[in-house]
Amino acid sequence: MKLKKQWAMLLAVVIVLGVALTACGKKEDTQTVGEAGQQTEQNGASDYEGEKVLDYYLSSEPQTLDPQQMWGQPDIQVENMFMEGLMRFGKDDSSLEPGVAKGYTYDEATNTYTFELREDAKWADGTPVTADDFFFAWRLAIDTSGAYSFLIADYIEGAADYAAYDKVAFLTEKDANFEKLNEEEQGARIEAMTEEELNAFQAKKDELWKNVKAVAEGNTISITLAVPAPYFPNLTAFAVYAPVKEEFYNEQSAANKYGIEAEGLLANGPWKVAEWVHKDYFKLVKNENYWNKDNIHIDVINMKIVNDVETRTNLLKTGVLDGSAIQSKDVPDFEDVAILDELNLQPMINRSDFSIFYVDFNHFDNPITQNANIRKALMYAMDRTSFVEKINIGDRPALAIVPEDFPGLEKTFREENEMELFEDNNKEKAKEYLAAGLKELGMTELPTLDLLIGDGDIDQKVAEKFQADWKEIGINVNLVPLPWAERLTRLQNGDFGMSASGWGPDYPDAMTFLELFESVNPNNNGRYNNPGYDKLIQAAKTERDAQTRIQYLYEAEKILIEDAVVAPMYFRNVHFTFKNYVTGVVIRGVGATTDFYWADIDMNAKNIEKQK
Amino acid sequence: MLKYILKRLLMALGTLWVIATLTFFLMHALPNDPFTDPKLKPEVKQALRVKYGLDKPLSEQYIIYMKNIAKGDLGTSIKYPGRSVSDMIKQSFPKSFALGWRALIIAVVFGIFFGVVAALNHQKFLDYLSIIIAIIGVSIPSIILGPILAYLFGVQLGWFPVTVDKTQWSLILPSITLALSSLATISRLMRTTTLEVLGQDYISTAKSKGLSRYQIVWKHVLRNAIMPVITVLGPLFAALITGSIVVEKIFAVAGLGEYFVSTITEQDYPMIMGITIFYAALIILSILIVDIIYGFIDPRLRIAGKGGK
Repeated sequence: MKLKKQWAMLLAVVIVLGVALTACGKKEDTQTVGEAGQQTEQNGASDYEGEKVLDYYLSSEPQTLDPQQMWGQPDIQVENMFMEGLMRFGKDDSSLEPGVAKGYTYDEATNTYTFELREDAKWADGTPVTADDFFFAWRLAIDTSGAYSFLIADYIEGAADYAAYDKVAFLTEKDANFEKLNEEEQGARIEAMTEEELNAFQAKKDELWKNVKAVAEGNTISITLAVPAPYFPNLTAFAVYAPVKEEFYNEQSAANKYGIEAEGLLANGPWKVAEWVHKDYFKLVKNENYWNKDNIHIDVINMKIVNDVETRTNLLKTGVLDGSAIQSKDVPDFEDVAILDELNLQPMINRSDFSIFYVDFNHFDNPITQNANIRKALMYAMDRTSFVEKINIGDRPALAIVPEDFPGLEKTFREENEMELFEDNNKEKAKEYLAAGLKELGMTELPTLDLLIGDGDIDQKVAEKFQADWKEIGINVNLVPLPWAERLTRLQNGDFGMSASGWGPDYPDAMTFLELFESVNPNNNGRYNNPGYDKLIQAAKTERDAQTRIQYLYEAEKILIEDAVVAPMYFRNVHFTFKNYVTGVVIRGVGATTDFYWADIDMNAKNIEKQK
Repeated sequence: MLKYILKRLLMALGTLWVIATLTFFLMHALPNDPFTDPKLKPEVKQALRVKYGLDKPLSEQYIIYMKNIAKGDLGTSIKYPGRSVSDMIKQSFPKSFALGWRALIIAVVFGIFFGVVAALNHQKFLDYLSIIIAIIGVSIPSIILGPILAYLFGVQLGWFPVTVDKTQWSLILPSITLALSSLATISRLMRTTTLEVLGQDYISTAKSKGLSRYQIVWKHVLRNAIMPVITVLGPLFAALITGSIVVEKIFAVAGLGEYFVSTITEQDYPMIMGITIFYAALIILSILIVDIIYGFIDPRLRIAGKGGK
């Protein structure tokens, strides 16, 4: 969800300039700033009559605020403020808060979740949010091929069939000769469909939609799943599951404003978008029709769009922003208590953003990287500990695939499946593997290997560190910086040995990382193909029992490391700090990063500081 | 004159067509397409390609595109689905323009002033000072100057906001950053041409007639030395008002400059085309305006009126 073009994103968040400052002592992972609950009730509302205004930022212009179409982080960030699904993201990474639904029950026998809708859930225009608004939205997501529509199509029973039935399927059914046409002719035939045919197609679609097992009964929505997914309730907090009011959608789509202008957004969440000046700023104001408005403390949220991290730091220092993410190179600065005191800032929140960065190997068209011993030599030679101390300050060494703190069954996945699955920086072991690998290949030394990397400065800095490690055991690696589109072309053509990659989760389950290496996964760049591994993933995807299911996932992750399918580099951490007068901000890894749902702001203190 | 302008406008259309065609085929020669995001499923990518007509043969896409521009339709962005390219340009351009015209005034006024002062004090202190300023201006890129100004006058001294907000005040730092290299170019150009003019016979004549130094500089030197500056003014104007990615990034300006780079890396085809055509049209137009202004400043160049040149 967060990794767009992975390395380009890295560039934005982590700018590494100098090497070696003070070692960064990682604080315990705290998700909440200040003492949320207690304080807000007492101070917050008591002695301030005026509007409570929070000044924050967005890292870039959202591509779209159409919940069914979005996939980028700034989009999701804003969506979480003005929209609300059946459930909301909770205060930590696996918990949920009630949203439009008061809660849900699960029936194991039928794999059905039943959500009870609240009567007082309203749209910003005062009309009630109904079950039909949800059904309309979900169908819309599939019909318009929204980026995350698979979160609906792959889960709800019947939805996959509905999604798969397109005009090609319709015409194939109707006319046996259609299949024999070439692609261009098929395209022409589709464009030439008569009105009668279109109606018939639509009727067939309607019929298929009736088979989708999401039904309203009284004030409940029951959803029967096609697959076991213990994390399904979390999915209902994602943008793609948000409701859409049909009438508003049709009206604003016709005006070409839906999801792209402030007027084209109808809120049902805690705030509504009052102003959206493209690429410049957002102004959100409290939604007076929101059912839980009494517990929403902040009246106005101003968000200026600031791409540049350095500029963001300047804004934080000059008091224009009430908080900000801190880039890796500034982490030592903001760990300094004197600086925090001077700027009236709280200690930083350091936490994983759940992305992993690793080296992809070619498993299908390169004899050297197809050799497991060579891959292991490369994997063991890397010194990640000194890398996160000197280069990417504040990040964590990746000695497994699923990132630290990512939810498992009861605890975090890492706690359940060992914190480290292999040893960092073991040059002796690396040399042994190299010798074994060379013997198998019948070589005396390896030719220089190419490592494809992104074309930013950071990509270069990161790669140089590991290049030096590899050189120590006698493997020469040549760095090849390429723009993403070109790198992708080479990956697709198998024209590579190694490539730097990254991945962030799409949903809060370890499967989102592990299914990447299934042979059929389109993002399996190295085309790792292990029937045993595929079987495990499929078994996990169909297993109803959560205990058994997670065992499959543990085992799958271990295979990835034993086989050195990829060489993990690091888990990325994010760092945030807020002014002392802001409390209750939640920073999380999956979904909207920053959440002000429980936040409060001491305006008296803020105004005093502003006057200074 | 009217006939001349019409002829030039016609030529401009031809030039635009050549530029649009070249850009169209060059951008499609880039590897891959806009839908390279690993987060998009293959079937979603395919649906998007169909939606934007990228599944059709290139020649067909070209014909469709050209037909649309002829109707004045620049299409919709791929990166920002649903938003029309012309709206996006319309929304961003005023923000770049607000900085651009200020930068232009700073560059022209101070550039000419420094240039003339330097020339009048040839090989004296003020001359060296202005040369130093010019060298600094040319050699310090805005990516260095911007952060320095923002840090010094914004963070440390607190005189100016560090980003552009709704106040006039906040436009000063970015305008200066944007102006500096043009200022340096103009002052060097002005210095050279002023020195040249100062050596002319008619200046000696004016001096011997007993005209005051002020009158000589104002009436004779400036008017003759300024011509080459006006020549560069056209393209400079177009460049400044369309914004700079660097200045806009540092000062968080919601301008057009960013698109010149981001649209290419994102391969947002309709935006690349829209922005290229817009920029090309601006340059062609400002060159035309400069050519017309020539006539007013220097009557000798008014041959254009006779349909020549």
